[in-house]
Parts: sequence; C-alpha cells; structure tokens
Amino acid sequence: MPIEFPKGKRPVFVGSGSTMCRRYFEGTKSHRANEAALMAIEDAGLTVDDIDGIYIWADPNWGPSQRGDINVWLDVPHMMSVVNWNNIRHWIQTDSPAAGSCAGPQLAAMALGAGVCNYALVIRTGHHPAGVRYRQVSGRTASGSSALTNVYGHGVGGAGQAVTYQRYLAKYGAKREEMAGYVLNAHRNAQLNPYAVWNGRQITYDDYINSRLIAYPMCVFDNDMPVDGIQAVVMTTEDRAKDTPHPGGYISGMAAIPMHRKRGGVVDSLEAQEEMNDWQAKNLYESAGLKPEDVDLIHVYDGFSPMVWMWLEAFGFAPRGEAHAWCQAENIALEGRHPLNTAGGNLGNGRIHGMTHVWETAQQMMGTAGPRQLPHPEGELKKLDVALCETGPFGSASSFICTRE
Amino acid sequence: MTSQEGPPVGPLGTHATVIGGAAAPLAGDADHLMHTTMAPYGVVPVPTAEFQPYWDGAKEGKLILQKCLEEDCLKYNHPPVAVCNYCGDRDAELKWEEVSGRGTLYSYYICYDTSVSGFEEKVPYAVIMVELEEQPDLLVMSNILNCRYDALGGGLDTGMPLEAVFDKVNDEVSVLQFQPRST
Repeated sequence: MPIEFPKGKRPVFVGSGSTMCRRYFEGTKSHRANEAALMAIEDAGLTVDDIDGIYIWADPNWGPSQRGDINVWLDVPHMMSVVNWNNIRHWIQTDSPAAGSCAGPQLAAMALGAGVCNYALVIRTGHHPAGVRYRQVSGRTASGSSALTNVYGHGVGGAGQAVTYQRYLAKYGAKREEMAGYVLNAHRNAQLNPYAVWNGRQITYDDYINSRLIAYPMCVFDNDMPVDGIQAVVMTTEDRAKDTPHPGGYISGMAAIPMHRKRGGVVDSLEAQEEMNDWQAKNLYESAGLKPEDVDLIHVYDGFSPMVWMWLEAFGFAPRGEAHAWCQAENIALEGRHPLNTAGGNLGNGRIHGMTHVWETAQQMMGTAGPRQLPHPEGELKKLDVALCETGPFGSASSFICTRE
Repeated sequence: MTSQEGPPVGPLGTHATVIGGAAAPLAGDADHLMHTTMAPYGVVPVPTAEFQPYWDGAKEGKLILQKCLEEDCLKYNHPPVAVCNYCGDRDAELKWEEVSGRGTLYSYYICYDTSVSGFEEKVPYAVIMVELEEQPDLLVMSNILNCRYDALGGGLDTGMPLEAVFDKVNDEVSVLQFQPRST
C-alpha cells in the first residue's frame, strides 16, 4: 500500500545549501555547518527562527574510533551550537552506518507528516581530517569476526566492494572498461556543479583506465575522494510550502534495506546482496505506488562505482546482469533518457556519503539545479515528474521517491 | 586465462596439512605471483572464547564451523551465532563440526593499496572468497597459496576447485588458507 500523509501535510523540499566540497575545509567545520544551514534556510525564504526540527544521519563512516569526536563529525549537539536557534522543538539523529543519507529526509518527512515539527533542516557533513587514512585497520592483532578477514590483509571500503565487483564481472561477462561510462559521466556532471571537488578537472577515458589500481578490478577513480563538505536541505509540509519561493519534490515513498536475508558466510555474496537490493526496490515502489518506468531522474549511491550497476538493476532500470552495457552516456547523461546522479554523485562531487544525492534531488525537483536542470533542453527526457533517490552501499541503504505534483 | 603451469598444484595433502612459516612469501617471476605462505602475518589472530573451536581446529589442520542441528535446518553459520541465522530457533543446538575443506573460487581481488597495517610489504596479493561445498553462500575468506597468478587475476578462474590448507602463524595459531586442488 502506498504511504499516506494527512491532507496538506505531504513533506516537500523548499531549500538547499552546500559548502564547497574540497579536500580540506576553509575555516572550521563549525563555520561551514553554519554556512550550509543558513544557505538552505535562506534559499527556502525562511529564517532561523522558522526552523523547529533538525534531522541528521551522523555516522562518521570512516572509522569507528572517531565516533562522537566533535572535531570529526557533525552531530545534533554540534549543530545546535553553531547556529543561533531559538525554536527547535524536535530532532532525531541516527548513527547506524547502514542508515544512509536518505535517513535524514525520511526522518524529517515522518516528523512533518505527524506534525511534530513544521520546518525541518536535514544536514550532513563529509569530513576527512589531515593525517587520518580512511578506515585504516591499524591493529596488529585481530579477534572475533575481524580475525576472519583482517589476517588476509583485507580491509573494508573499496576492498569489500571489489569482491562483489569481480564476481559481477565474471558472472555477467562485463568488463571494467565499461565502468568508464559511469565514472566519466559523473565527472562530466561535476563540471556543472561548482561545489564539486572535481569541478574544473575533467578526466578522460585514458586517465580512468590507466589510473592506479587499488583493489583490482577497481582503480582509484572507482573510489570516491574523501573531502570536507557540508550539504543541507530544508523541508516543510505542502500547505506551508505554498508560501515559499520554489517548493518541489513531494515525498511519496520510502524504504530501507533490512539486511535480514539468510546468510552463512564471512561476507555477503553478490546474490545475497541482489536479493536484498530487490527487496528494498519492491518496497520503495509499493510505498510510492509507482513503477520503474515512472521514474525520470535517478540518484543511486556511487561511493564505489560497482554499486551503481547493481542499483540500476535492483530498481528495474536495467535487466539483471546488463547494467554494465546500459549504464552508458546515451542513457545516463543529462541529455539521455534516464539522467543519473546529475550533480556528479560521490565520485564527481566528493564523499559526502550520499548527501549530494539528496541535495541534488531536491534542487532538481525545486527547479534550482541551474545548468544541470532537467529536462535538458536538448535531452531525450522531456519531463521531470518523478525522482528516485537511494543512498548507501549494497547491503545497507535507504531510499525515497518524490514527485513534482 | 593463464594455465596452471609452474609449481605442481595439489594434492599437496588434505586440509590436514599445516605449512611451516619460513618460506619466502613471494616466489614468482616478474609477471607472476605465487605464495607458498603468507607468513609473516601482518595481523595475528587472537582466538577468543566465541571462536575457540575454530582456532583449535585450525591449529590441528581442520576446518571446524558451527552447524545448526535443528533437523529441518542443518545450516552452517560462519561467523558463529547465538541464534541460528537461518531457522531462528532459539532452542536449536549449535555444534562445531569439521567440514571437508573443499570449495570453489567464488571471487577475488588483487590488493595493490592495502588499508591493513602490516601488509604494505606484501602488495600486490590476492584476497579470495571461497564457496565451501557444504552450502551455497557459505563464503570464507582466504589468500591463495601454491597458485601461479598474474597481477590482473590471470590464473584465478571463478569456480576453480580449491582445498583448505593451514598456514602457520606461530606456535599457537595457524590460519586457514586455500590452494588449488586437482579434483
């Protein structure tokens, strides 16, 4: 059954804000959090005093040892301290790494629909301090489940994706050269996103295919760049949104991966991940009362490039095992039939862990995406009625669908 | 793909073989990699109570996993669990049992830029996933020993038959590894 909100209370995006996404913050994280929040609030035609709810997916996601370190992550207590709030009456912070950036707008949507708050700020930081290597496994001993992986020189992040990617290539007869289709398009879109870390530096096919290997078959461009950056959206209810300058993107469906598939092994197989990805997709479409063919704009998580193929298949845009051929410019470019990750995604914008996807989905639906705005004047896509947004790696993710009307 | 030329592969013994730790970790030529052992290990496993039967088995050259004895289930859970992940019966007996050690290559990657301290000197090296013959989806991680492969995975063919072998870390601990098997 499609989800329902009370009459006039459908949650909708009304503002967006972003700092520059660069290797290191200019100033402090506190300065930039203030900047992104105020930009989003101003974009919505609101003031700080209007905001009465804050929703954050705050997992630092690059090392559990930094959990709770105020210098590293942007949590609700920190957010409360960097803006002169006066009227906050509700907030939720979810920390599970599996929740993903879509957890923020999901929480805001439920709070708005229930009347717990009227104007919600959703914000997330990517932060990667100098001198810290992403998810470095530095212990020289391992116990428990980690002893079943770390002793083989297996870390987390890209290495974990490489196992699934190699299985995909072998099973479906795909080639890593085909991944250039996605990666180069993400970088191309980033050229139209001034906040993106890759803005101004377009890479070529030769750059991609000859780049440094990290975990073959994955090269460095298959991994998103760790950056400092903060992105935010403001949401309110349909009735209140009528008084804002450019509301757009009514939340009409949401889902998350439950990770309850039966499994016996040290890592999830490709097949187990596909099964759970499909389960999320089925629940997302049912909750929205929509089908894959209704979707105009696609945002799927691309922290590691192989995820994109798997998500495109799970959400029904490409047949199983065929996304490697489907995920090429004629389909996914801004001018294509199914524009994908139009602000560059994680790979083009930098690693804000999917908040770029949320931020850009909101902008596209509000009509504020500037040079990236769909439908592209010379594009095959002629309308922008429905957007799908998914964030999180395969096996752990959340998603929503939003509509123009 | 690269043929299995070079050093003989299997039978180097059953999974009861425990390889000593003194051999050079890399015995390949310029274009190929081959490990007879991964020792010295950059990360040393420390057995904990929950996993003790697994590590006791490894020390004796046996692969021992936790099996659900509920008669309609009989699934292996690895890593071990308190409640069977398959049947969810909280009263089901979970027992450590030796398995065959036979499996096939499910997937792999060649690590060039390791995020695990202690492995910097070993790159590039293969990390593989092995699907054990007892149960689909029962995937265990390993490196691969006594197998010639090239730096882009030539010689590592999905589905190739593998057998468990145990690589000595120190007098207290041996680590599950896999090598090609002929049958």
